[in-house]
Amino acid sequence: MENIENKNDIMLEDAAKIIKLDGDNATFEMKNGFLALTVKAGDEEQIYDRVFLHRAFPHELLWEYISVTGSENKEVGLIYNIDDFSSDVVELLKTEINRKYYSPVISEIYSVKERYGFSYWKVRVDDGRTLNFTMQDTFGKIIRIGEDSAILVDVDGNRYTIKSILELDKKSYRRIELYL
Amino acid sequence: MFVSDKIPTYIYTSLNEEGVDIEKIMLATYCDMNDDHIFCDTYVIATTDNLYVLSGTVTLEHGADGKSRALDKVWKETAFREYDVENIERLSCEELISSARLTAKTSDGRTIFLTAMTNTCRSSVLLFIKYFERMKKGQISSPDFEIDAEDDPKERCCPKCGMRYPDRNRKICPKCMEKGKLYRRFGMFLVKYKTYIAIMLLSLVLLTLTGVLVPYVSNEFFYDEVLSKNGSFFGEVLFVVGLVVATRLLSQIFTVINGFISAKISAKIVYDLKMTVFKAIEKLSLSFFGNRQTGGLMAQVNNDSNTIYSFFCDGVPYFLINIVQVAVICVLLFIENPLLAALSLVTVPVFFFIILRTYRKEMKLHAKTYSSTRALNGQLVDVLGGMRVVKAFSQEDAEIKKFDRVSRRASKHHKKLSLFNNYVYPSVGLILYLGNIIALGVGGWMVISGYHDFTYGKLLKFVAYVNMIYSPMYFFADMVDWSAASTNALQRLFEIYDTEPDISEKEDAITPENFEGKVEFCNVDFSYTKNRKVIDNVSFEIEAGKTLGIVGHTGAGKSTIANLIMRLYDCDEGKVLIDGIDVKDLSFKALYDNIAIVSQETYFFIGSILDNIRYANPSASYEEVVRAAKLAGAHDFIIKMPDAYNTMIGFGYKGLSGGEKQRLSIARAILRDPKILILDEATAAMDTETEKMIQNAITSLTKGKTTIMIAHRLSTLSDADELIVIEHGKVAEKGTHKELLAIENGVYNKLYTLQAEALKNAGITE
Repeated sequence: MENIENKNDIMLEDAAKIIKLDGDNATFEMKNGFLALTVKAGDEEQIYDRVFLHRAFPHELLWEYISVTGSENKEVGLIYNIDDFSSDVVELLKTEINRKYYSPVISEIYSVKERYGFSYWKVRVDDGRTLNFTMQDTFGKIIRIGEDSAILVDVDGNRYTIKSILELDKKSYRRIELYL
Repeated sequence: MFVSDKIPTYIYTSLNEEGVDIEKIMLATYCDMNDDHIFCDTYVIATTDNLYVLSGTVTLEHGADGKSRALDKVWKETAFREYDVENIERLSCEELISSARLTAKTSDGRTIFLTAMTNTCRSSVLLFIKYFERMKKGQISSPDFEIDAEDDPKERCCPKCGMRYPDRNRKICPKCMEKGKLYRRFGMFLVKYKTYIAIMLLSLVLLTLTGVLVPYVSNEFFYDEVLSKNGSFFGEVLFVVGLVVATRLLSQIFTVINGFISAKISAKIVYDLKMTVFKAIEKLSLSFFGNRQTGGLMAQVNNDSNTIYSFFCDGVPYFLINIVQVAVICVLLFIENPLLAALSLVTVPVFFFIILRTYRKEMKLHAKTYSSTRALNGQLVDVLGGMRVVKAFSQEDAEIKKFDRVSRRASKHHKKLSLFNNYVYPSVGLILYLGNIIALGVGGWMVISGYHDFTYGKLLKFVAYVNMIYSPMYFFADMVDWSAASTNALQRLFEIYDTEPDISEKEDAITPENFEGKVEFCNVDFSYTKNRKVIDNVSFEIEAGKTLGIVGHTGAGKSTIANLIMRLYDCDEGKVLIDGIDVKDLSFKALYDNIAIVSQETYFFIGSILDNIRYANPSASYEEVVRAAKLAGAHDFIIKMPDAYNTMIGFGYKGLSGGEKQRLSIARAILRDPKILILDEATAAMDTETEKMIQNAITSLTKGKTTIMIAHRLSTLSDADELIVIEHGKVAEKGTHKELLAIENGVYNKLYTLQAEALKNAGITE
């Protein structure tokens, strides 16, 4: 029995084993437009032609706990802090993460029109563009993040972020207030 | 040619300059980003030989001569790439969060990044990929091929205004939707109640008339004709009192008639509406439910019918009657005393202006109260449902705090709404009342000064009529929101009513007399969402009466195979055949009478155990039910219950253990006595002991039937006549247990060894 328990412990430990990726054991680079990774483990080198980055806590820690998976969707390792890499790699990783989590930040809400179960939004986003989008089930598709932020998901699945609802101008606040 | 979005002429010019033969273009789609994820216009174009990616931006410039003030669109190409279609194995649309990437897998195993896009362009790109695959397979070879009706870009846009439908599955353009059409359609629905509605309207008209008569009899007639010495009925008080009583009585009779008809008709219409929605929902395919929340559907069946009823049966008739009442009274007032009428009604537009402004504020307060109450209910359901977990982790205090916060918020909004209703409405009502005061003051002066024979009785009648105008005003203010809510509900009702089930029975569907039970899959492809193949080119065959085991990791597509045999979904490509007949050609009766499924998820409806076992065959005798329960190993535990087979189970009644539920569901399947039996992880939730017990039940169930067993515990499948191993939606291996074990490094071999080791470690030997 004792033997079985020990074995189980070992299996659990294996399952929970996290490979920490940092500047010493991991080299990220762009290959054919995709992010590639080489991981050193002792004398051996494992090369991944394509890796994907996932934030473990996308609403809390933007540049920490980044999971790196290979094309088989298995985790290669975990970046505890993006600053564990050299500045050019940080730039590379940030670009890739920003691309994945791209979500225009709404700075002003020009209008919200409700019609037959859909709401039509006209907003200004942080890069100055004016965007129009449509939401269905508006109450359900505004995801509150903490007390002050929100994510709006439109009918196509595009996401729009409001970093601080309270910091919106009065008119914009009044337009979204109903759905909060 | 498939062109998912309009391609401007300057793009054709640009492509021409790059040497692309425009005549040969088979497919074209638009993306709003380039391969650097930078916003620009990117067009992906395919001919049978080449795939082109063209990126650039459009700027607005004055005419080439520099004099013209008109702005022209000028295309500035930034990138042009060309690939051989022959070298491309497949295209994929990889989802990110708000964006996606179109990539190509080449025949030498490389992946090429073609372009990025926001999710807005994704559905068009997925269609592009679908036809690209067909082109690769040689199914389409010339630009004039026909696209599937549902993929026609025109089908995705409103034919009237050209705007894209917000939801592809709901072909409703909110901009062009005609309210009138909806109401007319609902009117047709009410036609069968026309007699009741006519009586109700008549009683309302009579009610209004008697209502108008009362002030006349009890004021002008009483004071000027009975109490006045010059009156034609001077001194006949009893007669007038009798007249007043008779008028009141008549009014009361009409009220009772109206109430009676209204109560009768309301129950009928609400019942009818709920049945219409429910019947329509029952007809729909499983995919419809996958896209919607069950809670939303429940609300639709319950609330919408009430909303529609109350608007049409309470709102519209009163609205019409009120309009008539206001119009008649206004005419009477102006005939009686135009000056006083104009002065008394001057407050009405002011009232309307203010009430509509405060109304918006009230709506906001209502919405806030509604959302906080919803949050409070949600919190309550959540905590009560998970009370075991709360107690297990000693989180009672934390939950109380959470509840307190949500409850406080709800209470705050309720308070605000109550205060608003109690202060604002009476204050706004004062404005209307001002008209009444004007009528009394100016009217009083007119009586004293003998202005145009204006008598005391006439004044009292006048004031009573003015008051009768005020009460409908509140009603009219409410109608705006009422009509919006009911239009919304009507639109949802007809949306469900009009939804065509994805899976429909052919008109000439076949019901074979002798069902053998041979099942064949011929090159079947299937995806729940476009371009995400769950089943990829799967082919296999099971002879009637044989057992096929399906093995694979979680999410490999095993249960989807069961869904396709049952025709809960239709395959995208290939064929599913039963006894050599395509399942699409078989009648639903033939399918459902001859196929039964026992799955890991058992569901029982509210009712007795007897009812639930009989669900499979309502005409089964008591003896057949008991025999089925015995075979399933359920009889022994059922008989121990005080109410035995009459024990109520299902939502809110007796809870059964996992093993008990499973045995009942097997009993249900035994009673159906199907030719094809699907066991979808039927014993997955059980411990080995229970599993062994149930195994006997399963053996008796599968005897002589074509059986498809899906299991991740391989030991349960070793007796199957044939096994197929599914990996990423494809058949990875095929053969008997022995044959598959013999494949060194084979998927089955690996899985089997792994499971056997795990069981050994846990001290279980098979």
